[in-house]
Amino acid sequence: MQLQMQEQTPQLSKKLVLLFGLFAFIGFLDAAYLTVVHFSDIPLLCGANSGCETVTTSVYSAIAGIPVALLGALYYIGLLFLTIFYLDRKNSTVMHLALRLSAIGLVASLYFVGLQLFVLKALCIYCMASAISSTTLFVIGLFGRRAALKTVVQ
Amino acid sequence: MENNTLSKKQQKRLARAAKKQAQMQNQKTGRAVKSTATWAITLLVIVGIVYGLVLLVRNSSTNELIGVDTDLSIESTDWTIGEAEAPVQLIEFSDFQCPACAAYHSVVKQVISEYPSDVLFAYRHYPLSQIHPHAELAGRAAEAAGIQGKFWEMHDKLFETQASWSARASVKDLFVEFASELGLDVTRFEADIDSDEVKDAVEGEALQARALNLPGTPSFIVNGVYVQNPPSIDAFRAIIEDAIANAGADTTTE
Repeated sequence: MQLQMQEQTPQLSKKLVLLFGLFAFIGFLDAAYLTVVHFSDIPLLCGANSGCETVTTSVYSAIAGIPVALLGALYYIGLLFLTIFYLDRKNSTVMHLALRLSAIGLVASLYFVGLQLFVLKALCIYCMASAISSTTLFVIGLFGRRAALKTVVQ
Repeated sequence: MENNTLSKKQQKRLARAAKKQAQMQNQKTGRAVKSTATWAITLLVIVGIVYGLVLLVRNSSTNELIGVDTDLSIESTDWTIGEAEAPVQLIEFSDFQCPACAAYHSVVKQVISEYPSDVLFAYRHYPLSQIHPHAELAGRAAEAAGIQGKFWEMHDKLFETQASWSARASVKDLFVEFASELGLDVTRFEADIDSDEVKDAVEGEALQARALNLPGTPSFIVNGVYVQNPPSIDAFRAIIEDAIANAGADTTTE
């Protein structure tokens, strides 16, 4: 019986995993676009609220010369790869790692939203979209892990 | 020979085991193929997306007009701010209903106020009527106010209040109200806004913009040369400083 319990890997809801992958993909699209714009010389325009330029050209838009958009793109693609790896191999350790990592995105998002609201006093819609993706990923991560724990207890 | 010694039951079991093994082998290779396909597609999609984004951004920035000498200069018919003999002529083609133009309005205002004797600024109409239904009328409102000497006052008012009228169905009454707030002769304003003279003034400049293939609004022309819209006020100052330096260099060599 004991052995049985150990063999039983925590079950992850496939729906949650797919949703996680979807948001990682959305986040990647967004961050990749910002990265490409960062390396081009055109200003990022987003209509009436000109906050985009202020934010994406601010001193906070790069850490030691590396644009944060690029870091974001790598982060999202990392989560996406882990999700696909899980879907391919059904290795739940990998998925649990991805779910845990989503906390990094939440912390980073809180920091960047704070910067936009209180320091730059300008909002960039693409950056907010990334913050929303990251937060959603974290929430899915919470639910995913809780669901998995439940099945273990059962 | 040996097979004969096995019972039928054993033979069956052996066959079944062999079949199962083959199946498992198949499954294994099947899974490997699926794995490879999954990762290949993933990588392909990601590379495709990045390439697509690069193309998209590059296309939106490839503006063949950048740096092109349009041969435009400020004329006596233009509405201008600054010294007539200023070394730098800045022409803006703009649309009163365009949000980017409203955003640039404060930038332009600030920059030209910093170089009062170096920059002569002119506003020209380029109403993008397909996307901005009130742009043409707003242009005419500014022209009609101009007849009574208050072009710039109306120009500022239109940009500053843009958000409040842009989405309205009808704006004419509001523009008349603006005219009265600016202390204009309202009867005259109402007649002028629909006059051929005013319509032609707006239309003529729009035609000029279209003939130049200006990509949109606002479009800035500095001493005849089309420049890419500066992403910040500092970048705008740099363009003006450059133009002043170039104009200075030209006159010293002459």
